[in-house]
Amino acid sequence: MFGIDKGYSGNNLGGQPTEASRFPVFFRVIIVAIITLVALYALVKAMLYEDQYSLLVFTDLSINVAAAGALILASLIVYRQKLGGLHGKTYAAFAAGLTLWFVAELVQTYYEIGTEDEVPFPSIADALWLLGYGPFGYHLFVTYRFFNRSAAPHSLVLVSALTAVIFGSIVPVTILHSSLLYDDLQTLFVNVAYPALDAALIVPAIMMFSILRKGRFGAVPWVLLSASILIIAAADSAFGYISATSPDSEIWGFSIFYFTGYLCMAGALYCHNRLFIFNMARAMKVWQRQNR
Amino acid sequence: MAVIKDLQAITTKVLSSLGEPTMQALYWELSTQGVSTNPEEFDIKKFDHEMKKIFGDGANVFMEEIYARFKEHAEKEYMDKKQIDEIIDNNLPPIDRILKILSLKVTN
Repeated sequence: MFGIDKGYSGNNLGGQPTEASRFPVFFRVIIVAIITLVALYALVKAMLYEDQYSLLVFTDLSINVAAAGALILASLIVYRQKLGGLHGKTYAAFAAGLTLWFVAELVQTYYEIGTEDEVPFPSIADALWLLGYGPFGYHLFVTYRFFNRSAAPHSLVLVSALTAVIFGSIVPVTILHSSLLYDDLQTLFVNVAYPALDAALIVPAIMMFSILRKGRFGAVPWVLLSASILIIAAADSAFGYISATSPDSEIWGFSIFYFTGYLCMAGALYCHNRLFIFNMARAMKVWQRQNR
Repeated sequence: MAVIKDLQAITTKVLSSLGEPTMQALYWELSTQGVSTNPEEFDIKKFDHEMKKIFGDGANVFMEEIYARFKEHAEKEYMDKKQIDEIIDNNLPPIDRILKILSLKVTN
């Protein structure tokens, strides 16, 4: 197709895989970068522990930057991939979900830093976060529907059952405590909606990972995407559980999970950009290197 | 051979269901691994092998779709449906079913 069929074994757009790993080299670079950024984030948070206001500003801004980074990469995919085919549609939905979540993060930052008033709950930010689950769900379920013929028999039942058991034990406790603490249905609904929607996203994310895990390319974005959804889901559930059971406690520690979740999402999107969208300039570079 | 050209065209159509830029990226990756994208030199066995390396078990989705479309095409263009059904064992992996149709075409 490109007239450069012969003699390029081992040199691809994804970087050269080594004998030791079937994954492209840059995948390990991304993992190291995520771990380093998370470690730095934790270190700065520890240093700012005494200064609550600076800590809040740093936390909110870091999460906003991570979410913005992921959104930029998602927008780049939509721009390069266009809307055709499975990836065109599903990544456009992903970008729409990330836009909603990014705006929600900005609104939350405004509530926490920009005003003197107490942060309302539920707020507009919660509405945006909950709306964001729709496009994310579309991305995951439509991709899973495409690949589901390759799923191992019974694995869907197993993953669904496991997720139902784990989240099924959190939701009733949250409902019980929320209904004892709050009178209005809206608060109860929002407290329950987060873990329930997280659970709904976890099932296709894990299924996709199980289908593509043996693939050199397929596994790379799905390791990170599944990880991001699991991390955010765990944080949401734990946050909802603690705020329902101990509403007066200061909940600071969870921000690191959201920060890591967005970084993993950005990593997954970077991998998709690099592996699944043809880049003529990079292909030409590889070709020239090989023909020197 | 026309049949290989047809098979390559069907393969391209199936891959393009992911989107044109993704199809091009996959063809590039496959070509770096020695899978010729030239319709006359297209080797479906090599293609299947490399797709499994890229997508793991997910490659079966593409191979099943290629088989379904190729079978339909073969029934229209080269041979009887009955003739194909006689030699195809649906328990075989899609690559083996495709190869059976190819061998039947060669024999004919």
